[in-house]
Amino acid sequence: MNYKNFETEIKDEVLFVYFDSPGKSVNTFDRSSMDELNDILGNINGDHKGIVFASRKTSFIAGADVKELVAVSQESDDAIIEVVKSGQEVFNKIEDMPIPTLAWINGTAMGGGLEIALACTGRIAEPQAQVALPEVKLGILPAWGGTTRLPRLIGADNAIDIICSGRTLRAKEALKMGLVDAIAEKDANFEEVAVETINGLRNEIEKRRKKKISPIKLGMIESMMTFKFAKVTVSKKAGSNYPAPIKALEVIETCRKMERDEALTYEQTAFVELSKTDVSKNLINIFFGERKLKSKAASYAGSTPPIKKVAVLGAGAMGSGIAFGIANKANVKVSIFDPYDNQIEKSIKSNRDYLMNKVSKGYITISECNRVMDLIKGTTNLEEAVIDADVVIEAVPEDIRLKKSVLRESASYATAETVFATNTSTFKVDDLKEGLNATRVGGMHFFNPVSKMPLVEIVKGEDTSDGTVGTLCSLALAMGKTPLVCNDCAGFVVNRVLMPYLVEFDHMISSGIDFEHIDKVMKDFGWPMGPAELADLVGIDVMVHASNSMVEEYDYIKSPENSFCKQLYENNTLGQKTGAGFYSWKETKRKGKFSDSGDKKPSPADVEKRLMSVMTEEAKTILNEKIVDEPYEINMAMIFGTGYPPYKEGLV
Amino acid sequence: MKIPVIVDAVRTPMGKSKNGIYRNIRAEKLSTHVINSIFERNENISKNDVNEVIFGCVNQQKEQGFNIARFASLGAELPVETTAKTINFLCGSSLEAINDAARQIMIGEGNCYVCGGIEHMGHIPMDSEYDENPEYCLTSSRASQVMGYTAEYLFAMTGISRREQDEFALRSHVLASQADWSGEIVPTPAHSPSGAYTNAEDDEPVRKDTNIDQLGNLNPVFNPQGTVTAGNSSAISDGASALLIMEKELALEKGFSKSRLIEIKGFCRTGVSPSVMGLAPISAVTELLSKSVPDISGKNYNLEDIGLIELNEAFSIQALACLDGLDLIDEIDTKINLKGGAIALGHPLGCSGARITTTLFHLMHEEEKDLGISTMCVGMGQGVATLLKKCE
Repeated sequence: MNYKNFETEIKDEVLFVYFDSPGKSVNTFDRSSMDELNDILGNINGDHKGIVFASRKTSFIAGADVKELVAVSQESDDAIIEVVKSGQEVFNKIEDMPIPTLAWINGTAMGGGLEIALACTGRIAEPQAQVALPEVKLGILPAWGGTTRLPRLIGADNAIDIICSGRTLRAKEALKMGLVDAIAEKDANFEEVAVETINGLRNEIEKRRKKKISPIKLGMIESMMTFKFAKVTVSKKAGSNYPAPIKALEVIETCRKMERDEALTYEQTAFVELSKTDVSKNLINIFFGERKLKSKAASYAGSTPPIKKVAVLGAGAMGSGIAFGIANKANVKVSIFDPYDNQIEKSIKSNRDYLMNKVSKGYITISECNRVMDLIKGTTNLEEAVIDADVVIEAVPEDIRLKKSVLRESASYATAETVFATNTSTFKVDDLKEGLNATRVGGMHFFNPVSKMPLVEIVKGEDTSDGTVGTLCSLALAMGKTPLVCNDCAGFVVNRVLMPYLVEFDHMISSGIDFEHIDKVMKDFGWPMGPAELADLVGIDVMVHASNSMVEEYDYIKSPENSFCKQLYENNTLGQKTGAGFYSWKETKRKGKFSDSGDKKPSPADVEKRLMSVMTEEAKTILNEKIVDEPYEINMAMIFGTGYPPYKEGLV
Repeated sequence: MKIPVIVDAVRTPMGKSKNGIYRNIRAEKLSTHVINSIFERNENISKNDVNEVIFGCVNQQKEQGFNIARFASLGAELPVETTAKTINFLCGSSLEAINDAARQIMIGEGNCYVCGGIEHMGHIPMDSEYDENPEYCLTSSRASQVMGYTAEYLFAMTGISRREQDEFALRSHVLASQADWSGEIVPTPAHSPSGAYTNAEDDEPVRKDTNIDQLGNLNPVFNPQGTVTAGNSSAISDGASALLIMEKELALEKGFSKSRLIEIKGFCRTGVSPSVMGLAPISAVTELLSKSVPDISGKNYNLEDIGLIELNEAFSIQALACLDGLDLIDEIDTKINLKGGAIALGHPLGCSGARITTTLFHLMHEEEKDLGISTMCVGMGQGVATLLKKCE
C-alpha cells in the first residue's frame, strides 16, 4: 500500500511504520495522516510480530496540525467531539493490539506525538530526544488519551506536573520518570535495537496495557492528599487567567477511578470547553504570530550568503550573551572585543561556567561544551576582532559618541560589504551610520537576558538594503530567535511602547500614588512584574537615560516636573544593582519596600486605564508611522520582548 | 518471661541546629557522652555488664554513617565484646531501639542494654542526599514525603484552628522553660555563641520569651492559605539521649532499689496511610492498650489508667489531632507533655524516642504516677508506642 504520510517496511517480522509528511519539516497529525494510520492498523495481521512507529524526519511528531485544530474549534460541539474521538479511537487501536508496539522517539515528541507513544506498549528515546504535552500552552489539554494515560503510567503527581505546566522533558528525565522505557545508545543500530526492544516487551503486553487502562492506583487518603496539594501548586503557577491547567487537573481528578474509555469521554468534553475560550484563541494566535514572523524573516534571509564569522563589540552582559548565542545555537565563529582584559575574562568565564553546569547535570557532553567555547575568541584588539567578520554587532554602553567612534574605527578594518548591526536600545540606526556603508548598516536589538528572551528587533535604516536585513534575519533565526523586522525610530518597537508606559508611571508616582499599589494592579493584569519592579531590575539609571532620549526625540512625551524616578537616580538608589531602588534587594531577592512615593491608591481600573492606554496609543502611532506593517507584529513584540500577558488579546 | 526495666535515663541539652552550641561537636561525641554519663551516675554497674548498645539514628551518612552505635560504644570504652547496632525507624528510631532491648530481655537474649538516640540535624540536615523515588507517586502522594504537608492535611481534615495550634506551641515553650530538668540533663561539651568552650546545661532552642502574638505573626510555611508555621512546628535541633535498660532481677541484684525501676510492659508499631502519618499515635496507643500486656495477672490497661503520656510534638496540629482522636484534649494539663515537648526542644530525629522516654521516666518518679506511655508518629505513615509501669 502506498501512503502519502507513511512508509512501511517489514524486518524480522516486525512492521516498521515511518511517519514522513510530504512538504513539511515536521510530522503533524491531520485528518489525512490519521486516516492513513487507521488504515495501516486495520491491515495488521498474523504475519506481524510487532509494530515500531518511527519518523523519517529529524524529529518524531510535533503534535496535531494547529491550523486544523483552529478550524475544528469553530465547528459545533458535536463536530469537535467527533474529531477528538476519532483520534482517541486510532490510538486505542494501537493500545489494544495483541502484539507489542514501540514508539521510537527521535528529536521531539510533542502533544499528539507523545500521545501516540503513550498508547504503545513501550517507548524508546534517542539520547537527545525531548518530549512534552504542551497543549495547555495553547489553552487546551491533551485529548488523544494523554490526560488519561500519563497519570496511570507514571503516577498522578508526575503527570500533573508534566500536563499542567506543558514543560519539556529531556530523555534522561523521561526515563527516570518511567515515561520512556529505554534510551538507545548513541551509535546503536536502529533496526536491531528496535527489534530487540519489541521482543523485550513481548511478555509484558497485557500487564502494561492493564496499567494504562485501569483506574489510578492511589487509595482514598493518598488521592485526596495528591489533589489537594496539586490544586494549590497548579493554581498558583497558572494564576486565575489561564483555565487550561486547572481544567486538566480537574479531569485527572474526576477520572481517577475510571477505566480508560470512560475517562476519554471527559477528555473530549474538556477539550470542547477549552477550545472555545478566548484565552485559547489568543494563545493560538500567538503560536501563529510567531510562525509568521519567523517565516517573514526566513524569506528576507532567503539566499543571503552564509555567515562564517561574527564580531561582537563589547563584552558586557549583552555582548557576552549575544556571542554565546551565536556560538552555541548558530554554531558560528565569534570574536568578542572589549578594551578591558578582565572584562573579556569575566565574559568567557561566565559562558564556560554556564556550559560546565550543564555538563555536570548531564544535559550536554564535555565535547559539546568545548565545541561552543572553541568558537568564541576574546580579544582587546579591535582589528583582530573585526577582520574577516561577515557581521559586526555593536554592543557597547549606551553612549552615542562611544558607539559612533567604535563603529567608525571598526569600519577601517572591515570591507564595504561587512554588515554592521547596532544593539542600541534608544538611538536611531540612522544616527549611527556615519563613516559606514549605509546600505550595510542595520539594527539588531536583543533583549535581556539574551539566552531567555526570544525576540530580536531587526531594524531597517533609511538606506539599509534588503540583503542586509536578510543577513541579520538569517543570523537571528540561526540563533533560535524570533526576528521582528521594523523600520527605524528611537526605541524601535518594544522600548518605544514601553517607555511612555514607564514615563506615565513616573507621572503617577510623582503625584503621590503608591508604587506598590500600581505594581500589584499591573501584576493582576497579567504582567510578570509591575513597573516599579521592572525599573529596579533594568536599573533606574538606564531607565532615566532612556526616558530622557525618548522625551528628546518625541515631543509628545513629557517628563513629570518633580520626577520621582529622577530623585531616586540622583540619590544613587538605582534598583537591584545598588541593593535599593523602589524596593530593597538582597542580590536577586526582593525584600520589601525601600522608597515611598505616597499612599494614594486609585482604583485598579483607573491605574490600568492610565498605563495601558498610553501603551496602546503609542502602538497605534507606530502603526501609523509604518514602523511595522501589521498590528500582530507589535503584539508579538510585546509578548516576546516584555512578557505582555499572552492570555489577553494583543495590545492592538 | 523476663521483665525489662529502665534503671536510668539521661539526655544532653538540646542545641539549635543552625549555628548552635553543637556546631563544632560531632554526633559520635554526643553519643559517647550520654553513654559515659550513664556509668558516671550509676556505680552499681560496670561497662563490662552491657550486652549491647542500641541507638536510633535516621540519617546514617557522614559522621552518622557506618553504624554510629558501634563508634559510640567503642568511644565510651565499652568492651569490644559488647555489640552495637543502629536502628532507622525514621522519627521512631530510638523508641524502637528501647523496644528492641526490651524484646531481647524478655526472651532471654541478654540482660543489660544501653539504648539511646542521636541526630545532628545541623551537620546532616533531614533531606541531605535524599534522592526521591520518581515511581513513589504511583501508589502514594508525593506530598506525603514532606512532613509539613501532612500537617497541613491534618488541618484540612480536623479544622483545629491556627490559634489553638499557636497556643499549644506556646505551652510547649513555657513548660520547657519552667521545668526542672536537673534529673535528666547532663552537662555536655559545647561552644557558646562567642566560641568559648563550655559545658552546656540549658536547652538552646527553647524560646523563653515568646508570646501568642509573635507566634501569630508568622507566615504559614507549606501552604500560603494554611496554618502550619515555623512557630507551631517542632524546632530543628541536635541532641543525644541514653537509657540503661536491664532485666529486673539483675537490676535488683546489682543493688538498684525497686522503687527506682520502671518496667517496660509492652510496645507496638502500627501503619497508616503515609499522608496521615501524624495520626499514627492514635492507632499505636489504641493497639498498645488492647494487646495483651505481658503481666502475671493478665491485666489490660485503659487509657484512663495512664497517668502520664509523652506524645512527640512533630507539629502542634499533629499532636492536637492525636489528642482529639484519643479523647485526651481535656487531660492535656494533667497528663500530656508536662514539661513541654519537641516544639520547644526540637525533634532531632533519631534522638527523640529516647528523649521523650527519658523525660517520661523522670516525670513518673516526680509526679508519682504508676503508668506512662511514650508514643510518636513516624514519617511515611507509621506509629510506635511503649507502655511503662512503676515496679511494684
